[in-house]
Amino acid sequence: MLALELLAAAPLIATASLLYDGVDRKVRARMQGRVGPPLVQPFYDFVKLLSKDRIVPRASARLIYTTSPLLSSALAVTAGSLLLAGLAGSLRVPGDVVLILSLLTVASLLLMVGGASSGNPYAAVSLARGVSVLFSYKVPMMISVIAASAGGAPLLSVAGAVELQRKSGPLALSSVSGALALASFLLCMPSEGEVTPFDVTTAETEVVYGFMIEYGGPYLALAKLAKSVSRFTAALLASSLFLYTPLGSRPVELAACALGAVVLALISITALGTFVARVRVRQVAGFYLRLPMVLALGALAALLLGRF
Amino acid sequence: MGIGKIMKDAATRLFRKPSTIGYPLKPERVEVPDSYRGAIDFDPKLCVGCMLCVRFCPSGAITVADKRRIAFDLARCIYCGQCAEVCPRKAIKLTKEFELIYESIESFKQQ
Amino acid sequence: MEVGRRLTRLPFGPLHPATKEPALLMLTVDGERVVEAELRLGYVYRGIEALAQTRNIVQVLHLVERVCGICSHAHPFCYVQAVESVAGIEPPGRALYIRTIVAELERLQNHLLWMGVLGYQLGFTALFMYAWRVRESVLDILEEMTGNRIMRGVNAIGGVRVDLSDRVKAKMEALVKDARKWAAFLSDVLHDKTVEARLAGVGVLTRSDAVSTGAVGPTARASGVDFDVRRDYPHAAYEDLRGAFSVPVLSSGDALARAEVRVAELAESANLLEAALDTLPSDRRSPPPPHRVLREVPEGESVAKVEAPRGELFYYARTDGKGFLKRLRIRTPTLANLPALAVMLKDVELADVPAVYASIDPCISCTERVLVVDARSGAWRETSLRELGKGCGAAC
Repeated sequence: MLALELLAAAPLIATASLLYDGVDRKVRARMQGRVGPPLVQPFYDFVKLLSKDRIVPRASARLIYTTSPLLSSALAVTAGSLLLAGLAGSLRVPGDVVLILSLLTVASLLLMVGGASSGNPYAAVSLARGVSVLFSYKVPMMISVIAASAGGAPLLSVAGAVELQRKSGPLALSSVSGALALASFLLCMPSEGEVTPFDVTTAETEVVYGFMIEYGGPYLALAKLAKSVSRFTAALLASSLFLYTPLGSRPVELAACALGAVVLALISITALGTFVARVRVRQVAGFYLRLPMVLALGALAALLLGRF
Repeated sequence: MGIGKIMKDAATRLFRKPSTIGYPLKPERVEVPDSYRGAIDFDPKLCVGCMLCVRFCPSGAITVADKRRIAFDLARCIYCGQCAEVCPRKAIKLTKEFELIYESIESFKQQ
Repeated sequence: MEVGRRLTRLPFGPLHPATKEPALLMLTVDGERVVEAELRLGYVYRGIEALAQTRNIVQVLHLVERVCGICSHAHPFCYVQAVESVAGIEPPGRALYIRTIVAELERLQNHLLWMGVLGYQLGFTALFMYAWRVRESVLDILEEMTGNRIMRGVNAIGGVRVDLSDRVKAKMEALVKDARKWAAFLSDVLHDKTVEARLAGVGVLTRSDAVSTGAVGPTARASGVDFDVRRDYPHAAYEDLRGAFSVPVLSSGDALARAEVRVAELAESANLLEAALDTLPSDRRSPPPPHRVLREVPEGESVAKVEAPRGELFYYARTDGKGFLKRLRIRTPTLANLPALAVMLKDVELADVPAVYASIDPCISCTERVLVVDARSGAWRETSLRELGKGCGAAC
């Protein structure tokens, strides 16, 4: 039953993610005074890339290079589908929040390793950067998510967090811990989405799209899909763990939750990415060790203090 | 605070008409000034055959075709307007036409 | 070399989003640190100087206009001065002013374009699009005045080919006010903490390095070299307008200073424009017809220089008295600034390479005249930045 639901959720999360990418590009363009591409441009891109030739660099580790975009996008879509299932209430497993975040992490890592296996020196530089960035933001992100979902039953699950918020209102608005955790999570989101100011791994002017450099055609389509799904899943996770609003009926609440995800992503990914310059690699690690880490630990502390 | 200014600018841009246009998909005309140097318009009736245009064309786009007719190769033309400037009879004009799309290199050649 | 240090060769170009034009910056990096940078050119060599010897003097005017797309006025501006000084032609005052006005408008659009490129290099898209959007208003005015956005064809030997109508003049006066606003806005953005953090102290060129590498233009002025052709070798209307502008000079020599100098020059260009429009002479005289020019230019040689947006641009022209050129030599500002780039790139972080590279505002297609021909074997060989640094004289 659950397997069937996950299968149904997969195209849903993929479509929603690509659609958000379209919104992102449109809003970004309008903020810069441009007309921008049509909303469905990411779909056009996806279909067109799929139809192109598959090119594998001779110097690459062929198996890793060709399979990792597929695996990565599959993992990201699975993470998104699990989240949707949790939101719908059909998945009630303790710790699925941790599972979702881990899947996203592995998806990112796989893509980096796959890209780096191309043998391109830029991809190698990008992998070194990527690993350091990954571990610097994943820690505060994980802590803030744990702080958010620790109150529900089943423990550390999307369904539990949703049940809790249906009773007592959005977590970020009803508790100090929730507000702090949301702030920390929002600061981590640009890194999850690999957008400025934290796009040091794929910065085009510095490392020429980094590990994505050699990917093209269907591989690039899948790699972009993986990125796009990770980005939107993170936003949806934030919206469901921190800002789930009880509105009476579940479908309305789910729609509101999705809308909330778009708004959160527009703030922390689209707007932030437009307003600021890219930071240096060292600055990324330094940044996440300070503000987001402090906020996340503060959230955890506030949670524990509130309980005892 | 520079970022604050950029943010304000971007926020107001969001609700204003964009600076770009959907050319060429949207039927918006792109206006070019009257002095624009576009496709060459040549009136053979005014031509006196002084060959000044041939002599001064920097890219060799103007040649003498058979039967002593002046021929223009718009693919070689750099649209500098030197020919129109030297023509004593004003037989050569540069029009406002800039959408010069032809399907073959041959069709750029005009007489 | 230290034991265990892993050095990687990273080809920054010839096709790289940060270099835009085909130039290869061969970087040797130790992790994220650049140990050595070597620039290789030769990908867009067009043989313009040789081509100039096959065309008559008037045709070459249009040829040199196409040396560079961004500073497409500076090149003919300099060229006509060289030819006019051979022929002893004195253009009318209004023509000199119009050349100057267009030159300053070109500086405005060049620096705005450059600010946009800097924003792009830093991943700062709002700055990128802001600068390019306001640049369009400069181009719109240039288009209305001359007919084209670039390749404007303003200059003629002995005058100009276009006139300044009152309508365009009024628009330019409004533009002057806007330009001051842009300069203030961009200055604020540059001094924002996030931007400053990326530019301050990055790619430092000391004054002595700037002098010894022969840097010119904003690159040199950001390192404390107080030199500007417009003030020190006044030509066209700059002689009359001397009091209307000052030359911004900074001493820190980093990427931030180079950006600040350019922003300050935006405001100075606005001052110059305002003064030039105020005192625009009214002696409208059309230039001598081209066939007369060909007859009247005697055999001789001359040099001319102008302050192009990127720095000092130098022309040497030698005429044969029959309306053709025996030799044309162009020394573009980028060529003068490339040796300085090698100094700047030493020991920077990989992340700073795009910003430092862009900070000299390189124009590779302008510069591509440095194929070194071995006189003995006749073989062409590519030239590297290191050789240029050793002795510019050999390559020039």
